[in-house]
Amino acid sequence: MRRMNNGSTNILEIENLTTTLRIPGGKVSVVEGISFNVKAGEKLVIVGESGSGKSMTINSILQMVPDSLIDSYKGIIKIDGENILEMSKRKFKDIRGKKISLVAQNAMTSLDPSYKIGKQVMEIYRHNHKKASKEEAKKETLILLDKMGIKNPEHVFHSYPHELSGGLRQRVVIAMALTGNPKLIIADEPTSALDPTLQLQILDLLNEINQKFGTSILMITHDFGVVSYFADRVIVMYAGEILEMGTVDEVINYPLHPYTKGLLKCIPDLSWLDKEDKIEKRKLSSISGEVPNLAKKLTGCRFAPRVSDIPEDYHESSPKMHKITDTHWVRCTCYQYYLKDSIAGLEGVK
Amino acid sequence: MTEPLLEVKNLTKIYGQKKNLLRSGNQVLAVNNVSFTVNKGETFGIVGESGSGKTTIGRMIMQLVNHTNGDILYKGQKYSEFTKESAERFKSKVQIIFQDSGSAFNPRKTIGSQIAYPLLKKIKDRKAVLDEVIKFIEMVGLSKEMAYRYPHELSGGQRQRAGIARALILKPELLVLDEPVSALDVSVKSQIINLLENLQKKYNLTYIFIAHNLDLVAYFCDRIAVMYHGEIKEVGSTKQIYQFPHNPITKKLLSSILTLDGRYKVSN
Ligand SMILES: Nc1ncnc2c1ncn2[C@@H]1O[C@H](COP(=O)(O)OP(=O)(O)OP(=O)(O)O)[C@@H](O)[C@H]1O
Ligand SMILES: Nc1ncnc2c1ncn2[C@@H]1O[C@H](COP(=O)(O)OP(=O)(O)OP(=O)(O)O)[C@@H](O)[C@H]1O
Ligand code: SF4
Ligand SMILES: [Mg+2]
Ligand SMILES: [Mg+2]
Repeated sequence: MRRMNNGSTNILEIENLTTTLRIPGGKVSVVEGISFNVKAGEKLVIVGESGSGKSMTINSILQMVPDSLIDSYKGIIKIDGENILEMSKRKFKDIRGKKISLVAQNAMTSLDPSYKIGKQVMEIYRHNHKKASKEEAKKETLILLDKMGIKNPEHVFHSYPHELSGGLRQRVVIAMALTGNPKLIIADEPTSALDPTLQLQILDLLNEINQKFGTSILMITHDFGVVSYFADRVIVMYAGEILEMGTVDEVINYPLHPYTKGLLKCIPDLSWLDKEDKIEKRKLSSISGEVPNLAKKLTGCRFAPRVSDIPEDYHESSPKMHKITDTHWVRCTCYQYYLKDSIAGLEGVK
Repeated sequence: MTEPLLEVKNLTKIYGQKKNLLRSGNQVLAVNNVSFTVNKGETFGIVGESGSGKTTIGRMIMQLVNHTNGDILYKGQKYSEFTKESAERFKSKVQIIFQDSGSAFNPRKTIGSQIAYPLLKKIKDRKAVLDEVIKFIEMVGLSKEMAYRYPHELSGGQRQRAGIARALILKPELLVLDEPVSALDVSVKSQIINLLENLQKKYNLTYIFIAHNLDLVAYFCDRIAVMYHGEIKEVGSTKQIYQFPHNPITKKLLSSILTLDGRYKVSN
């Protein structure tokens, strides 16, 4: 495993990944040249509009893009130091579950309605621990359900999925993802379908797992409230590319890409609620224009058509990632435009 | 602006009404003795945890399901006392938009023909219908070419806009919005809420807005009802509810709002 110079290890390293699909009439790169790491014990969140390639990124990491759809993966995906793109399918199967595992968005799709919870969790447990006896699997399953904050594990063990509330089902799905003691959990919008109370419970559970077991978490969400509450670092994706990356504080409090700024402005402002009546709420803004069609040939900056406030000479013809701090990266030079009035030079970003 | 458009009085819904004495096991008390009034031109929010009965109320208002007990009055007239004509009029004046209204389009027909459908029953002049369809498609921020496209050729947000155009073409007075933007990303969410706000101003529309996004609810609604296990626990103006919640259920719900600065702080 590679040690970074700051002493932390990376459980996941992605270098220059491009994922290309075969579609009727050609090919389309839905993820293009992205690079990022997930450190041991870290919580990293990916945000971005619908269709920006978030799910395709994690489907690439988990090798879940259907064979009929995938044209090629280019680049490097290292899990615990090993490039899975150069690995046999059999070897990868072993890594899946033990080193990385998935929490699906919809608990119902990962649970079989016709089998009891206990049987389903035990089955996955025994897949990850081939030598485990039935008794052992049952014991471990009950322990795991208990760890998920389930009050009555025996009862849940003997229930069918439909007999449980949405919150309990989501806990069971997380338990299943943990059976192999993975170092990294990947979760595609695990709380989007839940009501706010449940969402908070599940985020707290994932936080607890992260703290107690040191499990890294890579999560996708649309919700910046979730980012702020949960994440250590954030990646902002757009049209298959990473536009900005940084700590939660950097991205939320000092966003530098016009796209990130635009996304943040879409969040309703609640501060008017405790102001005097005559103070009006801020009008909800949205990002004008639309996400580009990836099937068409795209040159230059993919976001430029939606930016109106930046003068011509700040646009780069093929924007690259610029380093602002050790952790904060932003594509292109437009940030210099935003910075020019407030602070001269990069040192003053923070 | 306090002319009541819709009054809900002691409304109760039990699913799985027993047909005989032997079948009583599977009853669900989905809505329990609920009363509220929606005034003309306002946006009335209904919030509460999953399964608390929000959609069931919406469906009873739409007459998609019958209510078990209580009364619903539209412009002072009880549903149970609707004449044939008033029932007909009601149907065109009250519309619903679901979370997946976009996916309710028939995949084999163009968007335009489906938006036109309810109108064709009323207006015989096809040219007039087409003009009207284009007008509404443009009003929801789509370009008129979209009329000739099939549903799969639109994005999720565009389909939802088309769904709104279809609901609006009969010029309703009341729209029940059941999680209309839950499945959309933040930017499209804002676009659609802004659209609904503008349409409301223009046509003095009345909205019932059901949603889990409590920050959007705060932004969009004038008054809010908080539901729990089929009952309304608290009703009040948005400011009252968010600033001075009384019921512990309301407090718990609000304190789970995640803002950019952490959890929403609820006063005690
Ligand atoms: N089965 C498929 N066939 C063809 N293109 C696809 C398929 N699945 C996804 N895509 C395309 O891949 C791109 C990335 O999609 P992806 O699902 O990763 O987006 P996402 O960021 O997860 O969006 P969302 O927030 O809506 O889940 C999109 O342009 C999408 O249209
Ligand atoms: N057709 C039906 N038959 C039987 N029970 C039903 C039916 N529809 C809903 N219910 C039950 O009625 C209760 C209220 O459901 P409803 O869909 O109104 O809740 P909701 O507040 O809209 O929830 P959500 O936020 O998840 O949409 C739930 O317990 C639900 O399981
Ligand atoms: S300045 Fe760069 S990143 Fe910003 S919109 Fe222009 S080309 Fe794109
Ligand atoms: Mg996705
Ligand atoms: Mg509902």
